[in-house]
Amino acid sequence: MVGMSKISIALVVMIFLFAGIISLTNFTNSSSVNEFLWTGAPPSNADKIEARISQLVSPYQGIEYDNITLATSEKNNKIHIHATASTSASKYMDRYDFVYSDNEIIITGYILEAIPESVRSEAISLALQNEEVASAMGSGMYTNGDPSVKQILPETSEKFYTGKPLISVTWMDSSISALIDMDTRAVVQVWTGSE
Amino acid sequence: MYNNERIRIYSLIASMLLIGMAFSPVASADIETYATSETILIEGSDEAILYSDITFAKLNINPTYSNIDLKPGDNNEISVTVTNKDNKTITLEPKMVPTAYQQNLIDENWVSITPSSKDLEPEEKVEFTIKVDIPEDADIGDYGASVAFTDDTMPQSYSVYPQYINAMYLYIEVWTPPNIQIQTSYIRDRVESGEEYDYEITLKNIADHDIEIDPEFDDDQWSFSSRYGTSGFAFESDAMEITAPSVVKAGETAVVNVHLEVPEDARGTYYGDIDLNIDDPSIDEWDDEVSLNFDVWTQPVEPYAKKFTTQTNDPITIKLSSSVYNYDKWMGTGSETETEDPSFDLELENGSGNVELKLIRTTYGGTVSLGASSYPPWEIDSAGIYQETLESYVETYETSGAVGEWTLNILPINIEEFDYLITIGDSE
Repeated sequence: MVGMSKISIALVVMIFLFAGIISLTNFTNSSSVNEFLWTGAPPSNADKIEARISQLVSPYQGIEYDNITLATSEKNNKIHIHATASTSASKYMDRYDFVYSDNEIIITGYILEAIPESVRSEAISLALQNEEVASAMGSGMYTNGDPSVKQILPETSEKFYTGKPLISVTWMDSSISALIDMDTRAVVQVWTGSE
Repeated sequence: MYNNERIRIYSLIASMLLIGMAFSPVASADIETYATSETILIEGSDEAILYSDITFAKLNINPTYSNIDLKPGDNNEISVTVTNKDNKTITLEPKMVPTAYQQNLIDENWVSITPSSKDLEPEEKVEFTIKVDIPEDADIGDYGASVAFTDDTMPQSYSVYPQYINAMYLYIEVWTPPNIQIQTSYIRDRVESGEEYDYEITLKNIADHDIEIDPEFDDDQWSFSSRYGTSGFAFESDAMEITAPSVVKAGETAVVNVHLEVPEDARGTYYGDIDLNIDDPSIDEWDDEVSLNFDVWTQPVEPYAKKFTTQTNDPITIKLSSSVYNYDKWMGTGSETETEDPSFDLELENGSGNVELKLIRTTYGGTVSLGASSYPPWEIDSAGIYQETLESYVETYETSGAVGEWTLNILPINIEEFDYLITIGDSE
């Protein structure tokens, strides 16, 4: 009986440890930010805002932000926060818009272009292999300018495919965009500007 | 080659006019016409005007043309409805017939049509299925031909091929995904005379076999641009050198290096192309070219001198502004260089020498696009918030004034164009 109790206690401890690891891992994934910089004077609750934003930002899988610059403005008793996140893994930056109100911070917009070059190249390559994209671009395929490559977050992706991070490759000057699932290497949606 | 093109164009225009005249419906209340992009009906009274000696079956064919894209080995089916608008039974025997001015004629073995024949009563309609099978070994390219439902033709002199009246046009683009991805689609940069620059064109071979390349500057494009008098070339292609491997190995990435030495006396712009000469059937003739666009910019050494006169002792305010279009930021770029920050060097002098100028304000401005309908839906919903397309930089100086003659010397640094505003008295 005593032995069982010891085993039970050990199991409980292991469960808590495991849960703690999971919890810590989740937190670490979304808070891998090294440094926050404020343009202008930080608000009195800057620490709280930084902690929450750390949880909300979504650097591309495998990269970490070196720093996040925060700029604020106030309108209608709400603080609007624009965050610019940079990483040594990409020459592009991620940008987020947040609104802080009633002790809640929500994300209202984002442009996530901080994507490793190898992933960018792969995404462009996959987009170009899509028949509809290739067909829409026609013989001008290689004169249509460089595309933008952006990460699309699950909240947005689920409206078009499924709730997971996707990549959008867009030739704005040709009004062509491919939404790509990098896990399956598949173009899941194509937009040609007329839709 | 060019003359032949012109003859072809004139012949085409003439033929279109003839066809148009022949088929133009006469404005009459008792003539029923069908004229949509999908349907053509030939009325007996129309042809009587020019071709009174021709008799032909009067059919309604819908659609009158079809474009399809297929890869080698793929197939597709098209449905065509033919209605007899004549007052007699017409025997339809659809067949492939050549059409003028096609890059390639569709091989009749690629096409099968069912039913193979049909006797059509007046006002009766029949649906034909045209199945297109592209062989595995077909060359990529554009193909065209017609499906004629009767043997009725129009007399013509502009083509060796007869013009079938009761026919639909069939266009097929045979294509394959490119085996080589050109990951640098263009090189565009602002360069300075006397400076050297290096650019890279990255190629990725996604095929399972090696592919030969032979990059070279495209002289045809060069002469085309010259013919139409573009802004004049800042330098010739011999200012650049290409170094590249001759083969891109299967599954690997290769880099084509372009080294540019801008001549000291270069002024203006250079437009051109590099033809990568990718030896692979998946790449069309024009699809392996990388555009080059260099804008030669020269940093002036001497300042721009502006003389002005003051008639009061009021303070003098000088405002200098420049704009920078962030086209590359919006579109992405092949450029390897960063644009340096703009600034101004100023000197103000009057009869007693240089006057100290006090920088009282520096302003950065911009124009930001909010995206809206120009974005794909998955970017409208989440991104597309800010895209700065135009930046401006403004410096405002002030000094105490005095009656007399003044000279303002302005040396713009890293600026292509600037505005100045000299205000004597209250500036706001």
